Amino acid sequence: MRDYVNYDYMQAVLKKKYAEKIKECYRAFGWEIIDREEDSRYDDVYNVFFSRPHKLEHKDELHYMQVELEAHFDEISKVNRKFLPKSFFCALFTFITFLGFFAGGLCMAFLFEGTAYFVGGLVLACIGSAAGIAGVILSVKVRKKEILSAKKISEEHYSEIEKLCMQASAFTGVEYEK
Amino acid sequence: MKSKKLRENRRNRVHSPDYRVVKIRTEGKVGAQKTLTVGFFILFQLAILITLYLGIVSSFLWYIFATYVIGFFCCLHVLSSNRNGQSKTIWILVLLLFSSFGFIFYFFSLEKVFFGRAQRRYRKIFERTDRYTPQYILNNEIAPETENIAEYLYGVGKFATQRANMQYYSSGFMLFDDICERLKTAEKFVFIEFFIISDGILMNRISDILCEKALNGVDVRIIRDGMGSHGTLPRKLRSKLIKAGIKLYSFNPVLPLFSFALNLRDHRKIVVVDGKTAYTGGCNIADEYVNEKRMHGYWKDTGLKIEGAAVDGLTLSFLRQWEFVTGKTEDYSAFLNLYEKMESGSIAIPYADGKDYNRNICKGVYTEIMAGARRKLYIMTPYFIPDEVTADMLAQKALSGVDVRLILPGIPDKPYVYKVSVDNAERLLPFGVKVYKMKYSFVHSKLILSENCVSVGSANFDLRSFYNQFENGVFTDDFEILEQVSDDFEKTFLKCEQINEKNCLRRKFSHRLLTGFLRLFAPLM
Repeated sequence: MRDYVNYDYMQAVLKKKYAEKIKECYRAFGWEIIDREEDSRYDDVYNVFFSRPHKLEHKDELHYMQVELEAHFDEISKVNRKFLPKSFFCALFTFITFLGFFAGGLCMAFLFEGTAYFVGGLVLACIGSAAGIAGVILSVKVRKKEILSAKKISEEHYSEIEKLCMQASAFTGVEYEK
Repeated sequence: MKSKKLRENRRNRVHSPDYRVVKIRTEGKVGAQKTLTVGFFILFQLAILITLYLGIVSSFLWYIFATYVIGFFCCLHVLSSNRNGQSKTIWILVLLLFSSFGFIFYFFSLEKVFFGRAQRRYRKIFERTDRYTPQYILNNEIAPETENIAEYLYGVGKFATQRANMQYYSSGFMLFDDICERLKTAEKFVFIEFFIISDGILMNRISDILCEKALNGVDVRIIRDGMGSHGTLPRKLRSKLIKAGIKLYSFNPVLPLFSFALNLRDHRKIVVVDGKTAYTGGCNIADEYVNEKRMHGYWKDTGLKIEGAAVDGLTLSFLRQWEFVTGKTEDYSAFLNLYEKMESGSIAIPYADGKDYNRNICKGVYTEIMAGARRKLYIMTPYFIPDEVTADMLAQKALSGVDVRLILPGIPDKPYVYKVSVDNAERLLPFGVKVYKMKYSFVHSKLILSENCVSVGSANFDLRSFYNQFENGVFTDDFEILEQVSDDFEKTFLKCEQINEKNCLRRKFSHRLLTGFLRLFAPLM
């Protein structure tokens, strides 16, 4: 039976990958875990139930900081998505170019009669292949750059998260381990 | 065997489509279901009206000529009416664009048509209860800088300047924690009037206290707005309150009938306990106002507690509204002059606004505060849809060297209103007005502060609050309250992102196009 007069309660759906970190952060904000259950639909999240005393020093600040904390976590998950748009579209564009030139070159070389067509077709196919190889190299480089950029952004957000948790810990008196 | 199990597991594995790492369970849109049924019936009625109308038009072609003539005279009527400029422009546009039936809508929008009877009732109530109005006292103790506002408030609605001890709350949960503590000590009566009274943790806390008090003989009366609180209290809870002896009434209940009266809402927020303590501010009774429920990020709200003679101003506002919704007259003297007398204290003027008064009082108070500002003018509002007079005044103040700052939400609750609000704010940037958006937050506070005085209340800085809704507030020049509110503003600025001409949305053509269209509905926002 929940005591809504003396305690506040919160239910959060957490991604399992980040769950331990988030729980530690919430602890710094005064939240204690009272229950945890697997999600009935999705296997990569679970539901966690928290409570903390209703009367809390600096509660207003903690409310705001918690929203900010969650916003930072959301940004981290946004930048670390598996889908990296720049490299994906670079690869897609490259593939279409390669396909167009290669297929076009082969058609030209073998469907039309004449040495010029044959040579021209082979040249086109070679250009297409070269474009394809260059595109693959470019896509890999862009992907590496995107991953590095995502890592840098994640580190910035993690740094902000640490600051917020340290500040929350100072307010609540709950020890927070970095 | 092992590979079969692995294949099975792989088939069953479903990832959550939400990319977010953490999601608080109560996040999400609410209120969509509230008016769905009613909206459907209203649209149905409109469809019938339009079908009947088209039948008439096809039968009597001279009617089209007649509608042009009627529409013309309606335009003249609009131009000579007391409506604000924006509303006049939009009505003329409607009358010209929809010349064949626009005048029908205009006719039904006239207050004499949809609100005439109610206004006559209000007039009777005011005439009957005029003797309870406090006298305009303490005129020697009002500072010269705020004398004009005090004179204005007494002249426009007999809102008297009274003594009060006040306390400012910079968040909803602090306000309601104090309200709950005070309710526990209620002995005679509790009056509650809110736009939204919604089931949840906060309402359960309050209702438990109120039921206990009502069963012990305390007179508990609650007014909630018919649209704001539409579908927010389950039948079980309503029955529990009524069984305990609590009197619960709705102001202007939402009926499935097409009427412009639907636009008139009771937006006031008043709590009075025993005639000795009163509260007002921006908060309603719902979990999001105290951040127990996550909606639109962090919910920023404020409130004021008043003790002393000024409580009677709020008590009187409530009792008049109570008489209107119940239709029952009573002697108000049992509820007035119960405050603790004080020889010294601050000055406060509780005021109210609505169709029960002849003037737009909240707009008047805001305008007076703006006019009197010489060094600073800070405004915090969830919606910024001023009329041309108030927008011009802000621009003028900024140009004359006053530090004019406006705080808007960083996360909107109504995207279409937000776009217009931000657009209106950005139009003031070239004049030197500083515009801020509070990060990760929805700002619900309604504050206007100058170096001399402050108003804390329920009125947004928008056309609905200025012209349509029933509102209330407290005006004061108390130094301590000014300091507290000023501190709150300074702390909030640190959490804000300032909009400047480089990062404003008005630079985008698509944004200007969209907001230009949305402005057609500005008087309704």
